[in-house]
Amino acid sequence: MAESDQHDVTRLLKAWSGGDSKALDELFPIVYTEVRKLARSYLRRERPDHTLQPTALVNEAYMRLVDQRHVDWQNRAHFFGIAAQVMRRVLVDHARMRQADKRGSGERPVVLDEALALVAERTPDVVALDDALRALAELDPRQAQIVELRFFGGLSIEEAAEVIGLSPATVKREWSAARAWLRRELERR
Amino acid sequence: MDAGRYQRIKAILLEALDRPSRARATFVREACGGDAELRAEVESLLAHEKNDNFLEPPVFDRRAADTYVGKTFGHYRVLERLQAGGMGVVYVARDIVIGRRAALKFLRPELVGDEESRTRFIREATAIAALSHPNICTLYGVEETPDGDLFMAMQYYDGQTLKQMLAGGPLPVAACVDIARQIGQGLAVAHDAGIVHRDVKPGNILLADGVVKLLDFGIAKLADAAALTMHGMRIGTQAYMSPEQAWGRPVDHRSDIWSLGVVVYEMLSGRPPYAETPRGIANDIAPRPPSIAASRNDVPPALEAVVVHALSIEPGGRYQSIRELVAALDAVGAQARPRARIAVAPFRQSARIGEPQLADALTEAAIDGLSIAGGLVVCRGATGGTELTGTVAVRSGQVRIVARVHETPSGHVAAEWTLEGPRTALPELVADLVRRVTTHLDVRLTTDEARQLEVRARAEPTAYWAHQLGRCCLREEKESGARAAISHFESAVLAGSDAMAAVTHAAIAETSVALLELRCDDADEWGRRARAELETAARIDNAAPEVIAASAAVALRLDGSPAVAESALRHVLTLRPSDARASVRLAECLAISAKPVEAGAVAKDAAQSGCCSPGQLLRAARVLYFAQQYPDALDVLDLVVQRMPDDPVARLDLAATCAKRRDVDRAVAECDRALDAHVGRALLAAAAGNAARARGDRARYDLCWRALRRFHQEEPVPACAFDLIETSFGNTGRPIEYLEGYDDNLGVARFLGFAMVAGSLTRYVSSVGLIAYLGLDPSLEPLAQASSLRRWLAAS
Repeated sequence: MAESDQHDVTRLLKAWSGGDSKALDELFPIVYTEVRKLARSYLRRERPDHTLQPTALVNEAYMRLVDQRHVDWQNRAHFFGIAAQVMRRVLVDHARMRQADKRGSGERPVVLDEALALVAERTPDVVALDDALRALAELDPRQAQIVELRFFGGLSIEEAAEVIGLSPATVKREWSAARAWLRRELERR
Repeated sequence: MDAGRYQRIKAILLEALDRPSRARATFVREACGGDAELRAEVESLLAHEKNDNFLEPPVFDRRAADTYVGKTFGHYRVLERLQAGGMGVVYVARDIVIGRRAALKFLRPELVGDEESRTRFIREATAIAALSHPNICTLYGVEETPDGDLFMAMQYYDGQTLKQMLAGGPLPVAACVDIARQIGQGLAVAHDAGIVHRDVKPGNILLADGVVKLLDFGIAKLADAAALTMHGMRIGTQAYMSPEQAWGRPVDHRSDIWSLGVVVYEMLSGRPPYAETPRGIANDIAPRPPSIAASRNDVPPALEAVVVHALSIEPGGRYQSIRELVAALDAVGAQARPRARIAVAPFRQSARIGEPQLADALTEAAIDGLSIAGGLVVCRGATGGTELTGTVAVRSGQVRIVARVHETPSGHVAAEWTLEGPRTALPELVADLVRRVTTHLDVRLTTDEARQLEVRARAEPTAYWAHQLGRCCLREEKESGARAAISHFESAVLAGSDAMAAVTHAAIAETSVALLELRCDDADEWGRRARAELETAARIDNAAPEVIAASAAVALRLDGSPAVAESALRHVLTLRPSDARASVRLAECLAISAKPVEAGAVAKDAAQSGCCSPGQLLRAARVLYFAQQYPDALDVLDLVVQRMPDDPVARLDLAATCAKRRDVDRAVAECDRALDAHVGRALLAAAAGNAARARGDRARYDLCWRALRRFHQEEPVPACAFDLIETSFGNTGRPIEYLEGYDDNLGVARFLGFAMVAGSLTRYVSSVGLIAYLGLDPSLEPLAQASSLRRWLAAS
């Protein structure tokens, strides 16, 4: 990882934490690329029966992308907010591709996604959840974001509150409501 | 439903959730007023609100439910929990100063609870951290968290443990031997430092890219002490524990030998030899482990014997050092390996390039690289069977090698490769070719061999090339070639001082010894040189087969220690069973040590391998002559003169061998052919003079002297000829003492040995033809009389 990238990411992260929402658009592709790159390098070295460890993956992406000396825990929470989006994208893409593969479209999933299969299998139905989350985002974008941060990003209530700019109490209530809505939605599908 | 509607529903729902559950129904009814649809929505969502683990844990759990993850200790940032074992929990961490990954093992607090065990642990860990060996997991150090937890920071390896590998069943024999050797080499270094592992088991043996890394040195000792104090009993993995360990007796390095024996047994049979009955193991031990041969039929009996020896119940009955065990495995490995055979034909080059040595040196480089593979018999020249041929071209600095493996005489091309790269990539290209050929022939390189190949692949290109040019010069086995070779090797040493330099210094040492054999002047100078180069080579890499071989040459020729040389050569031959030079040397060693029968057998095998150079065949023939295996010696000499028809020394040897077989006509004819060469004339004259003097025939001796002087005026003769003619006069009288016992093998062998080690006499003296001409063998007398030598002498 070039030092200039690290500098960029750190700067963008601070800008985003400071309220510049455009910074997010620049950050997402950098983090997405880094996570995929790391995942590929893990996969080259590890045997197929090893699970890809998303925790280590994202932690390592963070170590590589962010200059630790210049960030506080709030910036860190923001980073993991992006990681949540990245993980959602990767998992959903993978699940969709697997479905397509089962239907015989001939499209083969890329290596990264094969390793993520194990993660995806633990999760009820990532594609259905993603669809439900999109529907929720139409009704209440904030709730959808909280779910994304909590479920795909592993953020605590406090961290999610920091990323979204709400009080932890509000996030907690919204999280409960969103869970109820999603549970019902998934049962209906 | 639209967003506005959802916000209304959500507002009521959230308010309801803030209330105790029994108050919710009433609240919702009131809040929704008469809007039945709204109420139905809220109630349905309320019904789906459960305090369960829906959407939890998240797919990506940063905290991983662990107190250490995400924290920083010293300069280590803990990334993730890897695994938990008996001794503690292992995490992946990143060294935030250096940026590399590391594995942190947090020791279970009860293992290091008291100050004494902490101190002892830190002291041992420091000793282990000081060990540097490819088969020992690198320990960065021991550190402490602010809470007082102790952890070891170690190198992080991608790989799997032997335990994981064995879950798939037993391993192939070659893999078992290779892994066992590596474990043994790691343990040997630890034992040298006084450290006993105490817990050698598959779970503590990691394999990263085929390289063994031993983990957890000495932790078992802590666990032992802790368990003893806590429960008065031992913990650990019973199945791998030595009997003395299980009995609670004092434990030394031989306990690790037992455990390694168990590990090898398990690799071969799929399970350890003794059941994991706690405590009972010691009582259950049978005098011998259950036979491995019962579970599979491809285990060489010699390998099973090694395992059984390691598994002797009394430590005194086992191998006494891990190196002994490794040597035994080496010997088994050398026998067990199937051999493929390849003949390397001279590479050709495209006519355009004005660099005549390129193809030659490339051929040498290919032979040099392929010879690393102990499982491969490599022959020089188009000798039939499976052959490697190739062409090389250079265009604007780019080298292009086209190599193919084909079968002769059928001409079937089994494989063809094109390798291209810049001139500087030649070492890598050759290594690549070697890998392709060995893979094609299904010859597996051991870890050590792969390392030797890697040393060449990464060698400084100029040095590498100079080394191969030097090897080219040695092919002729002439003094001038040897001198030219040394000067190439010297350039190589100047150009690069990497690991390849050990091989080059060893080559200088060997060549110096060869020069010492070829000449009788400058002997002291070459001797000093050989010793100095060997010393340098050994400092760089004393395990390289070339270095061990050079040490044998020095031991034999300079130190006069055939026993030392013999043991070194046997070691070389376990690593490279088809090394013709080492085989021939070993035969000479055995001859000098008065073991003519074994010497003859080794010489015959070497000659029949088809891999000997003419010079090596000549030496093998002499050993056979002294072993009185004349028909075999004759067969070998015929091979020599096919390849070097005009070599006077070979002709003289032939003459003597034919005379021994009472084939006087051919003996005389061979002498005549020897006389065609200046050297042959000089040596024959010297030998005849020597013989005459020994018989007291002064006139004939003077005649011979005059002839020799005349030959010398025409063209300088080897100085040893003058030595030879004088030898019987007591100037250096000892050869005669040895020759007095000529009719028994012992005396001949001693003379040969003396001739080889006594600096003033050279290989010409050890030439059987000359010994025959010393006239001490009555059966050779007609030969001396009938030879046209008389004409030459008369003409003087």
